[in-house]
Amino acid sequence: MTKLNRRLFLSAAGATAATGILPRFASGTAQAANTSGYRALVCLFFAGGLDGHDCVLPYDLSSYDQLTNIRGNYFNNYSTSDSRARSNLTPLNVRNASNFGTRQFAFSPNMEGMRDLFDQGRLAVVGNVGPLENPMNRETYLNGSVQRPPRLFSHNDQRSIWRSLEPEGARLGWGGQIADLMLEANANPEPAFTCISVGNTPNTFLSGNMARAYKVGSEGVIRNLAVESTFLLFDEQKRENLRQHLRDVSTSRQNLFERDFAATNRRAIDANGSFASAFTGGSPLNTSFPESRLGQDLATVANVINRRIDLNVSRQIFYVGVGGFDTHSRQAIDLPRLQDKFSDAIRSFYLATEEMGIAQDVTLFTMSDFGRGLVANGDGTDHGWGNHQYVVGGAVDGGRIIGDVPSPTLEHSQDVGRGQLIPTTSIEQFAAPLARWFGLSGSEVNSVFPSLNRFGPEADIFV
Amino acid sequence: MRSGWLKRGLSVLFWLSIASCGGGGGGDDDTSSSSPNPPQPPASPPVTTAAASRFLVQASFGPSPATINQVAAAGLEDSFLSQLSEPATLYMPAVKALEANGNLHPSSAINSFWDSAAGGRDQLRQRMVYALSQILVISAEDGFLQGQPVSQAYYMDILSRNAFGNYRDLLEEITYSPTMGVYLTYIRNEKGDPARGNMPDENYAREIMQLFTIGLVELNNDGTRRAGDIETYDQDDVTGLARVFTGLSHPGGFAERNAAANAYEVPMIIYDNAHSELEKSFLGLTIPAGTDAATSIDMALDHLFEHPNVGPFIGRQLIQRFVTSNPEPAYVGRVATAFNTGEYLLPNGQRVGAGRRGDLTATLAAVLFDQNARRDPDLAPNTFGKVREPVLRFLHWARALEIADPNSRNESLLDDTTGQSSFAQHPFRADSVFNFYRPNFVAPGSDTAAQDLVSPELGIVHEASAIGYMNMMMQFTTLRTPNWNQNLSGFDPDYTELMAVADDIDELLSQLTFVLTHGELSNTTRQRIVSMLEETPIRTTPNEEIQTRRRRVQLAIFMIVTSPDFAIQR
Repeated sequence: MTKLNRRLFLSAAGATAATGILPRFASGTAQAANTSGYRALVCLFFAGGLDGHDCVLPYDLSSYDQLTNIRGNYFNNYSTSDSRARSNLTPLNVRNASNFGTRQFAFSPNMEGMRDLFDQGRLAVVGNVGPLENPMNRETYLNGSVQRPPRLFSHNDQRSIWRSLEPEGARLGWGGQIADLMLEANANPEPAFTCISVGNTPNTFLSGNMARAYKVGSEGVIRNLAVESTFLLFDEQKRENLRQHLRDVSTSRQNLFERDFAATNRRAIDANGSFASAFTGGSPLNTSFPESRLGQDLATVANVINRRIDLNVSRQIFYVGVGGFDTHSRQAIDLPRLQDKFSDAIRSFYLATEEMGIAQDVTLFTMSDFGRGLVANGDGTDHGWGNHQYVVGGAVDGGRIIGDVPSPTLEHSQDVGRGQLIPTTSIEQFAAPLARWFGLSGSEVNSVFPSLNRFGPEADIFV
Repeated sequence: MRSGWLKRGLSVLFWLSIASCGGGGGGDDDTSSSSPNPPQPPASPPVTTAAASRFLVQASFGPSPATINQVAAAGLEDSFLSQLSEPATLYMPAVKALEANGNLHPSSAINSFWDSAAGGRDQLRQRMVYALSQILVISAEDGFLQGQPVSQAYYMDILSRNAFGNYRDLLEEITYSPTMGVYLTYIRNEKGDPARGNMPDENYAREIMQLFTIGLVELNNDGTRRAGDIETYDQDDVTGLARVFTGLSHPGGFAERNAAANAYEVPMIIYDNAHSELEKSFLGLTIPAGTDAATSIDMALDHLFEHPNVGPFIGRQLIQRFVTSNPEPAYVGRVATAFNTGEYLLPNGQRVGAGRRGDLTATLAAVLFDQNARRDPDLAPNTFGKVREPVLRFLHWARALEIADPNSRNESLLDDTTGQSSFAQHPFRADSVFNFYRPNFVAPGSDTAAQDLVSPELGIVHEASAIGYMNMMMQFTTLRTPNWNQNLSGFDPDYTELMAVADDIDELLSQLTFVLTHGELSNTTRQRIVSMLEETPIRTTPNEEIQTRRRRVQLAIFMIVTSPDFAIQR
């Protein structure tokens, strides 16, 4: 196997970057973003609709009793070690407990890693977040006086709304739009690795007008056999010719699908080359990650962040998805295991950022299709709406529950039915502070989240 | 050349399993009939080999030299009819045989699909199975189904038996299948119990509407949205319909621990005491309180099936699976009409379909024989066509090279192709009920997106997976795929005949493009391949001659199958 020609690959990538001419935006805010130092946002998406009612549980006696009135029978389904009995819960040390009066809270017993981060002040809960057109409650939902958000309870549309603020068919995601503004401000001389998506799921979160997701497989960097192996050709120059064939630089193709396919191959080959060479000779991180797929995907994110200097980036946004959360059935069997896995993986990821000495520069945040109903269906739960989210990082003002956690009862002012929650914090109020911390100016944040001013203050996530 | 390839085909006549009924005349011994001589069947005019190849790319898993010539001679209509009467491949018998001799593996059922797609005779039927599997999705990625190959085979056979049948029958069979009951979590779904705080599981009720019948918004017959973006159903409809799908479970007993030995390979049965006794209201239908489960399910399926959305909703997706990603509304309308009326008139005047709403033969005929599907690609706009998914590109390669006795069990690389370093997809192993990609996926930053076109397959063909496909084709082309048993066949091509003409670059390319790209190749691609081959001269010493001939053949094949010419279908 021949050695990678690093200069060749980097210059090819550079050429590709140079041909993507950055358009000037008319807004005049193009240079306002703060691009100093390094910052990374990591979006962790729980696909299927994570049951927030089973992540953040009430702990004070009165609230816990309310919960058992509704889910008590269902709690019999859990194994002893996973039991949701109050004796098996550990209360959180909530720094802003005064916001909640006598109410206390605990994480699921399967979220120990995240509880540790919470107690260390590195993780914050943002309560009851979800899509809204305007602030809304049960009354205005039922009487129709406030417009409902579109396509509630539908997986693919709600995922799209969380990522793009629009139902399925959206082209841009708010992550991609943030990246566009950073590229405008010349944050990354090589734009290709600004947005990185790890794992299989294709989606629009990182799609911008200029920015696009560079997808890294769960398996990490993939060798390009056509170029690196001698299966077909021994001569290095001939392999270079083969590489050019695969890049299919042609001005004569008319069919749009042919053009898109060729462009995809070209980007794949060019980026794969630079990306692979950035990892050559780097030393691995010491932090161990769980063997689960999510653990390995977050390890990949950490490894990419660790190579940020070779990749020549100062701002990056990552997307990682993990599935299995649509627990209509077997929830007591499946969800505890999923919680074990994501809690451990998140904890490892935070520790890796500490190892790299940049914990305050990396913020991980969660999203999910929706929360779930409080009323069970036998052995599981059905689609909901508002859900609790988690934000992790050295810059996070952690150990707090930001926003509201509605009481575990039915027919209260935020219950749309069966304990499906009407959000009290909109997606904009949740995401805008993340964008602001990342370096966008006030007017830039408003351009990505035009509906922000319909709502109250943003979630106050950061120190 | 053609005769050289023909001798290898096991199935020389498999596209013409019944002799064309050319002799339609009354016959000398027809003494009992008093009717006049039956009319001659409509002619099925021969077509060019390029047109035959294009038809085969749509209507099979890929052309081969034998099948191109057969279809060209027989004509498209007769080839289509002939495929309708080809016996259906069923997956259960082989799975049961493996079970009996202790060789059943979790991936046995699904991986046998590779073999029937690459070498089976009922190409059109299995192509329809593959298309239906991307609409009526179950997946072996499911935590329970992954260990149930017999249940997977049961479901695959439902699709296979009903591929040319009726959509209403298909809906009923999948609804009663334990495979779907598990996948969409309504097996053992119980009626609501206010005392315990339970409500029926809503998963199947939602997905059967959203994905299997009516979709999310009201449509015109041509697939365009009715004015006002009207949602077809709301949460109340889901809750009402969920009551219908209660009380179903396996023989042996309702609870999982009582499941009979064959629980997951026979239709589910009804347990009346677990079925909802309440009124079930959805989409304007009210099923009276106390209606039994079988009647409720029947009424519910009828009501969904009769919704005017079904024809365009399913029809458009079938067009996307077979022909083009962005069919014009008039095309969708013609396919929907075939679905609605149950009949279709082939170009030669022959009528197909049994005349009942939901006829899949008529619908499929409308997809394949529409003027948009059959016209010369040079007359089509540059917005027509689709990116072929990696699985179909691979299977075309296998069929074009006439892999003898394809045996995926002996190919470790075919055991799991879901990864991005592989094909990023595997038949019957989608990540979710939403399939490998969405019908309305728009590829971010693409030329298709800039013109408001969808390209579902670009959802899995992207920077991280493109190299995976190249690597797979590199390994298969150079016979570097690990085989469990070196003495058995796998998917290894035999290059003997191609190597014989490798010294003549034009002839080599002519033979390869004949089966891979309808006999054509863009100048760009051709020039690169010719240059590469010219720089790979045939050596003269015997050993080197064989190696260099083989290298030329492999290079040419690899470069074609990684080109846009091969990847895009138009």
